[in-house]
Amino acid sequence: MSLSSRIQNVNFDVLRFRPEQDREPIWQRYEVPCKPDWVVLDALNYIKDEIDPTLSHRWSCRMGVCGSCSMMVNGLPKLTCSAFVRGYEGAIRVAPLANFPIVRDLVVELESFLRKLKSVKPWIIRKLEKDVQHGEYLQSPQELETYKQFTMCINCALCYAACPVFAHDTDFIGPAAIALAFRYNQDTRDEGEAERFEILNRHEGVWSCSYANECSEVCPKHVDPAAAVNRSKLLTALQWARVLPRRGAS
Amino acid sequence: MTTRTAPARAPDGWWSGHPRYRNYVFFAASGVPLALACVVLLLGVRALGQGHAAWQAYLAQLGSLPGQLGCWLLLLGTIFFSVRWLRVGVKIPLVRIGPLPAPPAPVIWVAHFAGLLTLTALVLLVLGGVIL
Repeated sequence: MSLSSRIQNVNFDVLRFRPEQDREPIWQRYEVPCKPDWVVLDALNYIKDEIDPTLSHRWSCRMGVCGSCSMMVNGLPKLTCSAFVRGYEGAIRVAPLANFPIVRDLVVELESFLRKLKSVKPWIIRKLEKDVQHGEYLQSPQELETYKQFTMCINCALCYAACPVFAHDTDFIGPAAIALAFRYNQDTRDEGEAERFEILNRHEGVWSCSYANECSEVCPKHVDPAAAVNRSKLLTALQWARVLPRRGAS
Repeated sequence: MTTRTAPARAPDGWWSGHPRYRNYVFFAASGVPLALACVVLLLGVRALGQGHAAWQAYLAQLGSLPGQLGCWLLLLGTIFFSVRWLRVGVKIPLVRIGPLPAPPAPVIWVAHFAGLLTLTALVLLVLGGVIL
């Protein structure tokens, strides 16, 4: 018998919430015949297809790129498409992302998260756009390297589920949004630093972060949001002290 | 019509269920010994201002069993905080400041640790009466 055809029954405790019938979320157990190479998402899809079609969960690419299948697996934020079943012992507990309101079963409300991403103006801001005929804005590989890792974020929101500050203050703008702002502030083609500092310097901005570093620990793309947040603290402090020129000020 | 949602939940096992959660909570709790250390130092400064007798009484309190236990707690809290800070804090200065490029990572690492060692040595020299 080949390795891939060996089946093992694994218990999954899944947090269910059906707003039309459940007063509060409840745990439901499913026994799933898992193949050795299955990830948690495969098991959830099996439950949906073969056992209980009422289960709701988000997923899309199945290759750690889209960031849709973020959930809590045994208490830790994970992309379920990257969490191998064989990496766990005993029953596996799957819950919706922590720190977000639950819409249904494993689906959470992400509106506020998306608003926060947009609030930091994640686009190149120029005081004066140059004409297309004058060519592109050039950038050296060294300049690109300064912020490149922060472009790898897939907006999976795992960092918000891991952040103890966001857990207690949902107004906190959060790791991914600050990393996104930092990415543009470090881009030599951008001139919007001062505009973004206005946002980052608010109470719910970078200064709410207590440097738990959990956001960086859980990031599936090895982005370092904690570094972005705390580097932004340094830069906003320098900006406040007028050490830095206000490059993007209008 | 809006859909009823269930309130956000804390992760299973928060705050003691995972080593990382425990580590963070201990880090946050290490702020208490640091705050206490500040209070003890302020009391010492006040005792200094009140004269020789007050200063001797302050030293006697520090030398008592509760005082020594407190000092050990402060030391452990400070060491834990410092070690964690060294682990995560070194990545902060790796940043492009204005037109200046980000400094190379090895430079930051060496400067960070050299700064800490220099400051520690200075404090020890002052406390030991070698300088000042």
